Amino acid sequence: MSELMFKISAPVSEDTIRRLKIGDMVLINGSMYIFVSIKSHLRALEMSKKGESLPINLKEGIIFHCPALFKKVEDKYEIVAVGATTSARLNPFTPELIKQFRIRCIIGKGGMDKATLEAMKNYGCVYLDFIGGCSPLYADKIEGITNIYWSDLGIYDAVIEIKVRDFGPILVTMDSHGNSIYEKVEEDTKSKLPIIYKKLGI
Amino acid sequence: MSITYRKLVEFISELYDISNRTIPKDVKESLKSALSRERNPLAKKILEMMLKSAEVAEKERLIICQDTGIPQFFVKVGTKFPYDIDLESAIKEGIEKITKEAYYRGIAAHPLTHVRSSTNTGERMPIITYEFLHDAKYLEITAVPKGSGSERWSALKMFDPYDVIKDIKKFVLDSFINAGSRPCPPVIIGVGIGGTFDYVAKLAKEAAIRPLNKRNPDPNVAKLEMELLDAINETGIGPMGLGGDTSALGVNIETAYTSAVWNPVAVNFQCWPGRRATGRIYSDGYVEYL
Ligand code: SF4
Repeated sequence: MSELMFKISAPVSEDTIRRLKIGDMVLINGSMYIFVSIKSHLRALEMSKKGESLPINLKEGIIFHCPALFKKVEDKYEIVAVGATTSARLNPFTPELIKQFRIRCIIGKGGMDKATLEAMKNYGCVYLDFIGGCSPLYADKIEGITNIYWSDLGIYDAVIEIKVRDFGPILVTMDSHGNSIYEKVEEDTKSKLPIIYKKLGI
Repeated sequence: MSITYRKLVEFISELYDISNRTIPKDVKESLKSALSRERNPLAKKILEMMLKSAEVAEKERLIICQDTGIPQFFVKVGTKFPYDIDLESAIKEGIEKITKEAYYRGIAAHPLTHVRSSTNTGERMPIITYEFLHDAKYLEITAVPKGSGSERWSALKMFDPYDVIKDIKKFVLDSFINAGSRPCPPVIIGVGIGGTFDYVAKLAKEAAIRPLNKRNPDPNVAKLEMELLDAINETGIGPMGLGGDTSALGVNIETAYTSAVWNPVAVNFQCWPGRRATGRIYSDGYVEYL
């Protein structure tokens, strides 16, 4: 693991993404999207398929699989807590999303499938793992909500643009060169299992 | 002064709030010693972040995780506690109050329609279990917010009792591997062995919320706990499933006599923050948090 901390902000160039390797730490500045619901993924893909332009500038953007907690103060939403959901549930939509919008960073938890890793390699995108139970570490790094898109879906399904300052450190766990920490760990565990079973006498 | 319904509501909502904002002391201690043993630099970094999160949450009274869970309560009623208050309603009201005031996610939902109740209450929700405490003058309540990662991957199986120890070991290990990174390791693994179908799940739950510095009093069971913990940490799954020596903080086992012709085993997880809070309320309304 390198001790280097990469600073990135959207729009992120392909060059920047290609420099990142699994194990690198990243700090994010500027704009990113809480983009986590299946409904919003479907809508984005449908609109782009029809050639309609989205109200959201996803191009070379950063998305966060974050079912955030909100509070409403007068008419405005504020973020109470953040965290990531298991990204795997968005596997069916993500390769196309990366392709259509050149999404550069996906922040989530638990990693994504082979097809997504392939899309990351083809179009230049990385996956960043958000450590669970660490909402307090990010409380002062979110400056606020700058926009809410598709609010007709309801606040939990809408796309929420937030402004962040030195949001991180977050870890690159899938890079744009086909490497995935999840795959490495899985293989490693598989290779250890026979020995562990034997030791336990099972 | 004596205890009132209102006081009980306040106590419940405060206790639940604490469980979402404080990481138990034994969990922090266990994370620290795991950090000192961990050899993987990335895992070290993650454990450090977890400890830091615990510290900031406590200092600033912040919510640890956006998944504030469905509420579960373990109630111990002292036999000398004047039990003439509608405790169940007080628990419901306490949860409704704190869900609203603290902006917790209303995640409780109808089991068939999956329509959410914004209050985290509903039919038999919060989940409450009762027990008696002989001679005690207080109610002792443990609040546990169960996030989806920490509950969804639970497992239960009714075994034939041919190769009991082998079955237990394999089932616990395989359940852990199946859960993988989803319950945010390092996890606390609660294992129930014996009893009946329903009771074994309760045992697993109780085991999962048992403090990490307490071993099962039966030396054979305690030995099994340690053996399983070592095996699980040898999988290399590590913090957040990103590799390392620290996959679990503890394996806690609770047992009960069962039938000679079958053997139930259940596994439940607590994600690394091990969220739970225990408090007592006395008949005069005095409250203490343990
Ligand atoms: S499993 Fe992870 S994401 Fe879910 S409540 Fe626990 S720490 Fe939070």
